[in-house]
Amino acid sequence: MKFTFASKSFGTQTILAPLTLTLEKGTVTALMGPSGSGKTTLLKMIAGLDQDDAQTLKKPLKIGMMFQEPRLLPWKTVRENIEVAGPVDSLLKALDLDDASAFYPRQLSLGMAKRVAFARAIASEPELLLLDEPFTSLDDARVDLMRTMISETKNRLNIPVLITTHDRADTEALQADIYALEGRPAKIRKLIDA
Amino acid sequence: MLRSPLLPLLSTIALILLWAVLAYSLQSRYLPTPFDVASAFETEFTSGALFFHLGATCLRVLGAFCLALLFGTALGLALGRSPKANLVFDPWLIFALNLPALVVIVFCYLWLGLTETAAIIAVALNKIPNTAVTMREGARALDPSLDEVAAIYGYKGWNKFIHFTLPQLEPFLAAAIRNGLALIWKIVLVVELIGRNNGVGFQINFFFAQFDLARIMVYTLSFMVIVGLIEAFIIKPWETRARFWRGDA
Repeated sequence: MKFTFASKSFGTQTILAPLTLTLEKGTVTALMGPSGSGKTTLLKMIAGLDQDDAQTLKKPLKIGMMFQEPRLLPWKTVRENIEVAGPVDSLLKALDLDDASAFYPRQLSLGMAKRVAFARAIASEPELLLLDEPFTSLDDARVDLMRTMISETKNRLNIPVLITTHDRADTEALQADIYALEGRPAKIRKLIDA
Repeated sequence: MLRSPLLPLLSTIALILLWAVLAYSLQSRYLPTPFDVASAFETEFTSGALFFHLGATCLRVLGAFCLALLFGTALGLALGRSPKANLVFDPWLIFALNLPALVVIVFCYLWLGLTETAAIIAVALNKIPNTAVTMREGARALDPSLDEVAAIYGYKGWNKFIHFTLPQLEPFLAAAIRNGLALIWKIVLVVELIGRNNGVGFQINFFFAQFDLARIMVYTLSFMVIVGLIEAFIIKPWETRARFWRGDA
């Protein structure tokens, strides 16, 4: 899966230089870089939620996306929030959420809400999974659980997974190819092949 | 210690007692006693006149309410979502908001004749600007980050409106409905008073000419009870359900 974009600017400031990113099926790719380097912007451009300066709008695939904030629908229960994307099936149990299935988002901790957001992202059985800092606000046990789920989903569906993270431990655990966004405007550079 | 649900009931009983004491002590034709009103109610009820006129008014309220809600909501959402449209049409909205209800009614009767259509349109036109203003605020309060969630999972058009937009609009819709009902039934009475030959407004005008304050109170109180029942059994439960997820129901 190859994504090519022109530069991306906000007002007069160019955030991203023109770039090409290739994602392989059945692999995890990690996007690293300092805050504000354009990681989330790039994810949104890949998801078709944002355009580059050449007005390229991509949404070629069925995408599952976990945003930095959970972005759950506050008027739906945990189960209903996941059902927005697809069947819940065994996801509640797998993510240790079965006791909270009838809860509303206001009744969840941030960590639980992030797990629900992750469940929603994979419930649609996507062709590409985009995860924007999926491990923040999670305790160690939940981080392990999520890493396992990401690997399991990637293998089961044979899809590429693109995550943004600041933590090398995540990339090691997921055996991810690592790309870095560096400079201003940020250029993409491959750091490590898994 | 009194339980809070009892307080409104006790307060209502106290108001009726106060009315009774005043009416019996003044013995004035300007303030009928509760007994006079009850007796007038029985006459109007048994003759069927009360149902006939209440029914006519209710149908007008329903017609005007639906029109106002439909067009006011559509207009409010359009203005709230499009800053350009808001810039162009905001002066129109301000003009419409400040147009006296009576003027709209008179013009509708002059243009469309003394017809049922004119009556309902006149009432709806009076309410549409208020609904539009409330729903415009609702549209401005929509969370744009949830639009991205909708886009990711392929929600568009009606499906997006039902699952993503409407729940966010419900508090504003509830306010528009509540205020709408309160305003519309008052304007319907004026419309009936000026240009219809039935309905609560017509009856109030008729009994005003006969100086029959007891019957005026019968029709007024009966309609207030209907509006109260709609509030208690339709609007309030719906609002409670709509707010449940917020935890402030």
